[in-house]
Amino acid sequence: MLIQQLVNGVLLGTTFALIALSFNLVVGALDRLNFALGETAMVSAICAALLVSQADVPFVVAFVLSLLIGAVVAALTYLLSFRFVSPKYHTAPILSSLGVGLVITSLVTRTFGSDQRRVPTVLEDVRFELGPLVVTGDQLIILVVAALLTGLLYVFLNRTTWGTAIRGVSDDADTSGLLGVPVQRVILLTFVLSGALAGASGLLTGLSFHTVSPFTGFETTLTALMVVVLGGLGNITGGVIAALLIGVVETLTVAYVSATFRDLLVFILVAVTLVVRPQGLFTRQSGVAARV
Amino acid sequence: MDAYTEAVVIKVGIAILLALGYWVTVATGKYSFGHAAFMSIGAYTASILTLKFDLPLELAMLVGGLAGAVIGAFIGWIALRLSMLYLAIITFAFAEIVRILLDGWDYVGGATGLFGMTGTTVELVAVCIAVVVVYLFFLSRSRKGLSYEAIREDEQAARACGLGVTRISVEAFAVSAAITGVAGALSAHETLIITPNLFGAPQSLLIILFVVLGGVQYFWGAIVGAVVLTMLPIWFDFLEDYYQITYGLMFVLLMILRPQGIVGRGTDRRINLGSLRELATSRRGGGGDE
Amino acid sequence: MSDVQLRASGITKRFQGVTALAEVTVEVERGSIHGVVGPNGAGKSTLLNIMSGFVPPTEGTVELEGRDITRLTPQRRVPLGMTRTFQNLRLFGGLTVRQNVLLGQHSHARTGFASLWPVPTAKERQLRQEADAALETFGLTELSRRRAETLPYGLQKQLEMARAVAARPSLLLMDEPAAGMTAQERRALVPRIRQLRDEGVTVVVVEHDMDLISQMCDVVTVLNFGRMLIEGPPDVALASDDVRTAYLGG
Repeated sequence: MLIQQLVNGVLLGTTFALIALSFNLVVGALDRLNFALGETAMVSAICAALLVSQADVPFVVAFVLSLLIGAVVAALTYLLSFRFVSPKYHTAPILSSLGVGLVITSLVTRTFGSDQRRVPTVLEDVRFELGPLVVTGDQLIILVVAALLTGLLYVFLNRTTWGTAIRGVSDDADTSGLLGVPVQRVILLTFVLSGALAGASGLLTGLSFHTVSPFTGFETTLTALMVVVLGGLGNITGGVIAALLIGVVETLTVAYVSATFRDLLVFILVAVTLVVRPQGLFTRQSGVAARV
Repeated sequence: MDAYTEAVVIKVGIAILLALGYWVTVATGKYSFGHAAFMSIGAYTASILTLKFDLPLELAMLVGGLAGAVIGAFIGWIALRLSMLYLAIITFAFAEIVRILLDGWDYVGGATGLFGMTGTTVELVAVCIAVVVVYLFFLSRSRKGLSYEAIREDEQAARACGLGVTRISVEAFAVSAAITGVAGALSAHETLIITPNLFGAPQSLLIILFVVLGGVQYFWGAIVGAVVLTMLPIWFDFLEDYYQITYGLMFVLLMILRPQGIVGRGTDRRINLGSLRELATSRRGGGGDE
Repeated sequence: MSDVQLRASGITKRFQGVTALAEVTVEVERGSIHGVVGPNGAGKSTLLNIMSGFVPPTEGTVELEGRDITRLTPQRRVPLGMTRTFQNLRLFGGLTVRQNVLLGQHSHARTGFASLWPVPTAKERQLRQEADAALETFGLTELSRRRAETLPYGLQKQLEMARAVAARPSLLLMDEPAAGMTAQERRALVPRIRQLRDEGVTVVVVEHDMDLISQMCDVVTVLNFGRMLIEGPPDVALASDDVRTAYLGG
């Protein structure tokens, strides 16, 4: 059923879009990658899943907590891997945040064990059938929440003072600083936002597969990086489109080729893109205007 | 030398080779985040040759290095003309591709891997290290080595001096991949068994940690890092259970306290933060100077 | 007697819709000191970056010795005899003064795997002598083992020139050579650049300092808002009404 697969692909893509957005926010603010975001998503998802399945916490509460946990972990990552690391060493934050990722994974497996955790269905009886097309209630939740978060972020960046400050810092931190923007606090805010997005994407991805594993952090980072490169580093709109594209490609590969080749095809797609169009599929000449 | 000591010495020796190999690309300021892939390419190539074609290890090891160099040159060519962040992402992803491919390839045993490789001796490892050290010794004193350092210091200035920055970086990357491939071959014929998962991200990070801990400025800094990090879990058994946390924290602390590593001085040169965006969107040779 | 060594014709450069240069044509004559002046933001540095290949022009061509080099990367222009210095110094800060100069010779030296052989060839020995001579000329011999970043600013400027000269250029592009120099260093700069010209090097110099330009240049191109105002001998060009208006904003 091609159409059904396409829909599933888009739904998978929306969770990728959130995590890619999360990476792109940090790239925008600091021109740096936070390699611990995948693990941030994982730890939020594990905690939320435990709360829902073992403590019977309502999904909505768990979801809000996943945002908070993600935000806190990202803020800690900022302090450990960015704030006090000399900007002279380009690779330092990459190595340091990879280190934070290792620590998070180890801590989670030591505290909660290395089992997969179940994320129970939220809307059991809801099912939409549009002709041959079936959309479950959970898929709808994923779609709506992801769209809502993306929309909120867009409004926040474009309509609020702090949002404007973020965009200002990501365009030119020095000038923004001279104009009285509290650059350090704005950067911290960016990390907090990106962490919250990562947390949400972790839980939503868990909801779509109904399980969460403590070893997915690295994979998540990898997928997000593929999306980010394909969409153009730091290009937020490009990232969303690329996320949907990769979601569709992965779903179709699993459906019609083989699950083993799921990631492979994406990697090849990205590699070819980089050779032909190194600036990413959706970035024009130089995309300050196209970035937000 | 008893068997235990011999095993430890070989282990340390292979770590030194890995560190030295990685240092070659770091000398040009280019960090790979998937060097374990070149290790696995060398390991699998050599293992296939010794197991299925009965080639002597010495020859198989060189072919493994060559395979690493060829693939390294290709990956380098894709990645090195872009910015450092792209290089990080591409090498990171490349290692995953290699792992997935090996995992799905029945000829090399898929996820269960290959079994039965032997033949790595202390002498062989020592000879390899000696060759690499001699190479690096002369490299550090030559104009080629100087051009590596120039690229690490300032790529735009290097271009203005007529250095083909991309070509030189790709060459260094290929040499680095070759040495790593040889080290992978040696390690396969020491551990008896290899699986694709042995060469995942943790192994790549460990190689980086060797060099970053030791210091990137002089190649013997890499040796220091490799020896220290390999001996630590041997001296302190309890680290075995906590090695991921230990390595993770080491990265974090090191980057804050001493990003230049144990050996070497800090730099006080102004850094060209340029704009990543500009770098990312610049065409091949150009690059935004203004 | 016109002998054009470098011709940049019809150069237009737009950065995200902002036009930095519009239809600028400059012809640099062999053996001259050619000044490019103009107020801030006139596009001088952009022009130099286009000439040296660091920035691609949106439109127009750059020709060196009659050969179209518009699409050549900076490093490929060096063997053709073109080198440059930068406005905000770009030295290899962590390397020694002498290593910086040796790197300037890159395109003349053997840098392949053969260069690993520790015994220098006759050519290599000659290059090293040349490097030492360049250090001597620019007063850096005593400091040759110091790390470049530890030198005072004025000497770093000297070093950058020494490095550029070590490439044996036939055409040297200098971006604001006097920026950040003391008055004394400025005065020493004029004879030095003249001497380079007398040794057969064509010099294109982008500069703020009008005194300096009128003292040393044979020809001056005046830019304003990305357009060419006038070109001619300094006394004529700088005295024109247009130029006065551009500078004084009158």
